[in-house]
Amino acid sequence: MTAASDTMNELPSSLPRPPDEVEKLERVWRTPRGLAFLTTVNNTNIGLLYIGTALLFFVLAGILGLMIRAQLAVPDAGLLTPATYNQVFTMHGTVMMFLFAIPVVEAIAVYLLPGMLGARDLPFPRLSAYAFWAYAVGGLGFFTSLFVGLAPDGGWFMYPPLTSKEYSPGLNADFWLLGIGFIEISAIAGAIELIVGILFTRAPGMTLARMPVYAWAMLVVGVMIVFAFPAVIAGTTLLEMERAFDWPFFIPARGGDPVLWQHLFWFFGHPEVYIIFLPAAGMVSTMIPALAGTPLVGHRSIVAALVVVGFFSFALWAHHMFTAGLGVLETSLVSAASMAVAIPTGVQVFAWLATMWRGQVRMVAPTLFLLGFLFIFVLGGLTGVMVALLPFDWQAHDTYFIVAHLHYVLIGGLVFPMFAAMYYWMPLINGNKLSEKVGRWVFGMMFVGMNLAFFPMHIAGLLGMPRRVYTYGTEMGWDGYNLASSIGALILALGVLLFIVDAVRTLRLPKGDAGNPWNAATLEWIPNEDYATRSIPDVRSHEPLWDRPELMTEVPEGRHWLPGTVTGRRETIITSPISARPLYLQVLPTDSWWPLIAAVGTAGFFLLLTIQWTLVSAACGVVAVVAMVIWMWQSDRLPMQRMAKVSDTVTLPVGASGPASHSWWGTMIMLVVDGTIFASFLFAHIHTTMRLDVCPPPGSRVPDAIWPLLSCSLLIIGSALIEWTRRSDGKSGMHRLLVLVALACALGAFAGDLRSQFLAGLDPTANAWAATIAAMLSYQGLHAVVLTILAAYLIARSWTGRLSAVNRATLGNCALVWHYATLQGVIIAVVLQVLPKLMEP
Amino acid sequence: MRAQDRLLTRTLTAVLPLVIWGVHFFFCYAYAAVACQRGGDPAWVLGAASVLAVGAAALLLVRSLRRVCRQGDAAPALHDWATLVTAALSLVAIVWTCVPMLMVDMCSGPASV
Repeated sequence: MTAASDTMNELPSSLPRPPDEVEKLERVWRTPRGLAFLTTVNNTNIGLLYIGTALLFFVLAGILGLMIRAQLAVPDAGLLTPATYNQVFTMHGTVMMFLFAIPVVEAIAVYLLPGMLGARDLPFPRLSAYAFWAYAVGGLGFFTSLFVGLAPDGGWFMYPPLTSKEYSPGLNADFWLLGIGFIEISAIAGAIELIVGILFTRAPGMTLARMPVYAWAMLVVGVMIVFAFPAVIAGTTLLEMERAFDWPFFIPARGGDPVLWQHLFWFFGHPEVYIIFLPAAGMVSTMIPALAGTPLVGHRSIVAALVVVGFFSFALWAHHMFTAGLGVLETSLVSAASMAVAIPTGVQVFAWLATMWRGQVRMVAPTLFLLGFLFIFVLGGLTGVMVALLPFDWQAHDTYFIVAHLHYVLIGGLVFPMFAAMYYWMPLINGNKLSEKVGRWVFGMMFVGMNLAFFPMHIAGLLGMPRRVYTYGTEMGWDGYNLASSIGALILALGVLLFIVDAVRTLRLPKGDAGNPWNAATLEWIPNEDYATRSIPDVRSHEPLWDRPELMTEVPEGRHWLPGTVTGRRETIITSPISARPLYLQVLPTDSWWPLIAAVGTAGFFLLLTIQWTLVSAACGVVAVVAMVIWMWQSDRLPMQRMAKVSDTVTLPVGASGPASHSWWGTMIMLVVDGTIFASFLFAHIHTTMRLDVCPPPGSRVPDAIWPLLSCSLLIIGSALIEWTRRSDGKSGMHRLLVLVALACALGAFAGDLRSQFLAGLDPTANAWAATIAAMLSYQGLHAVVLTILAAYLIARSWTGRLSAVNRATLGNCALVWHYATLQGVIIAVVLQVLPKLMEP
Repeated sequence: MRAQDRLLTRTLTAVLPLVIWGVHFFFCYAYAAVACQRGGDPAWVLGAASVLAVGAAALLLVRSLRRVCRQGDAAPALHDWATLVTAALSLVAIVWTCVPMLMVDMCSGPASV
């Protein structure tokens, strides 16, 4: 099939191209103007909105940081009251981590990856739009809580018992739990888009070995998000249930354990540091070769190192808990892993240094920021190894030494690479570079300001200054260090301000022709429009633009893959995940209001639930679900044609189902997230069970075994019926009947679970053991609701003739969800029966 | 799954050493916590698990090294090289993880010298 393109001199498409080809392409991909711009789903537009919003939060959280530094500049200051100060430092950390750092790395990826991979767009544009709007609307709503004194005030990691109902009775903690919890959903949606996009929408010929390191980094990060974020979603759900229903997951007097929260939070929180750093490392690995004019040294080792860091980072969660009273051996194991992670990170740092050593580095603004990154990040990494040592950490824990360390890691590991990236990739936006002269000032102020702000904090910390204190007395001897830090923070902020001024100036310049300003090797520099590049480049090496500079003209001439639109709609080529062979043509969804409406509904549901506007909140939830259903309904359409010619010699099928389909993979990843959330609840149950002297605890009992047997049987029968439906080509009426019976089985199984626990006298408020069972059953109940919606959806599609043999993707994906719910129900039943027996002395 | 280039199988072979590291790490963490809480001595089980893990990681390292060496002067494929690097780093990490087991009394604190 790819014989033509394998011949080095032949290009996939020949000239001359039909005269109206470009015009059709432009019409299909045109970005709507005016108010309709809000409907755009093109990842390039969404990416820019996403980056802009994340930078807005960076500035807002930065202002909060300045308020902290203003308060601490001199001893015994009274600029902020203690209560306000608590809200300000909590929001500074929360907004920086959840509303700036994670979104900005996804935002940059959503913007850059289609171009870098040679895709017209990523595979789920509406999902990206939904993720962005949910984040933007929810994030701004969350931030406004600060102006009414309702902002969270328990620190960015919200440890109970401080954040329990007893010690934080107001709504502040609820804003964090519900607001941040759902913004994580948005991050996961982004991760699904990125993973499937990177694996399946690369240009033909861009094998995994030829894929840019940045895409590798984002692939690893996407997978990390899928496994890390569910832990905090589960944790926030448990804490919110404790606060709302008095289910005592974290209350020791009733068998709960505050350390459980710490486990769940940091199982997310530590990988998160690498989720933030690895994309930056990927950007660095992309920028340095271009700026040094030489290929990346140790490219394959860097890819392997990224994967290794991704794995190791999950073993480091407990190094935030060295003073929480964990066992000696457990903490020692984590201490060892914390040191081990320095090796793959060091591999990357040395590879970057070697690349610069080998090449001729141009000392331009992005280079300055990259050098700044290396200096600051390595310092942060070294203090990281220091605090990985248990005895040192016992001394430094919760002091300003930690504040200094984490800022060196995060500002070094994300902010400086991000500024380098903005200087480097800004010409992609409107063809103009940021001012080189101003850039040097920006770098100088940020570098000096950063070090002046945060280096003295190491010393203040070693002198005993605890973090999160709203003031200190002059007799402590911390005055000079704090004043220096405050002056440094101001200089850093002025540097950022100068950058903003220059960025606004640059963005207002008339559109120019960027060309390939850094002589980079990656595809995003090929001229592009709303439809991305005119044709999709045929990739034959790891550095395509260096090895074949003629791509810069051939691709815009339409001489490569898919030079127009075949079906008259938006489309991209799906390629195989490793060797990037063209598999099929995917028709992409177009601009729509539904993702925006779904996002506003979702944000409204969570935020209004916080302030207990239950009815309005429920209405928002219904709006969100309805909007999503309509959006899904439009996504699985009958293809207008079965086959499409994507080059002179290659014809591909249009659309696919089953494991060949991108939506199947998207569903699978979503189910992995689902399963990891459930695993977190399961962990909470096992953790609380392990703390019991006898299981079940006095006053509780395990339901009779007949009930779980009945429940499991019904679940399995339901799944079998759905599988039968999926595989059969029977009549639509039969399909509908089978789906209905399957739903009855699933709901019957859940009713059986509830009945059995009712008979056993389960009281979730009595003890944490019962509460964790109730949490797992609630989660299974949520799945029963989801199955009900799916069943109604399938029946409606069958009724309207949309479950025919040629468009079965919906049925296949629904079947996956159904089987997952069955598996989850069976695991709950087995664990609840078996665990107490294992606990018997 | 042929159209998918055997993605999951090939990914698993490349990261298998890391999976071994992960299983060993989390098993040691959980087993030590459970055994110590129940008044047992986890030393033998952890020792056996560690020998198994080190052996498996070493075996994978030798296998991937031989595969890379067989390719002679040609640059090894990304998959082969990645398997080699992950195996080497996993072996180092597993051995490093075992060091505390030799240095501390597992359930009570630093070993008296």
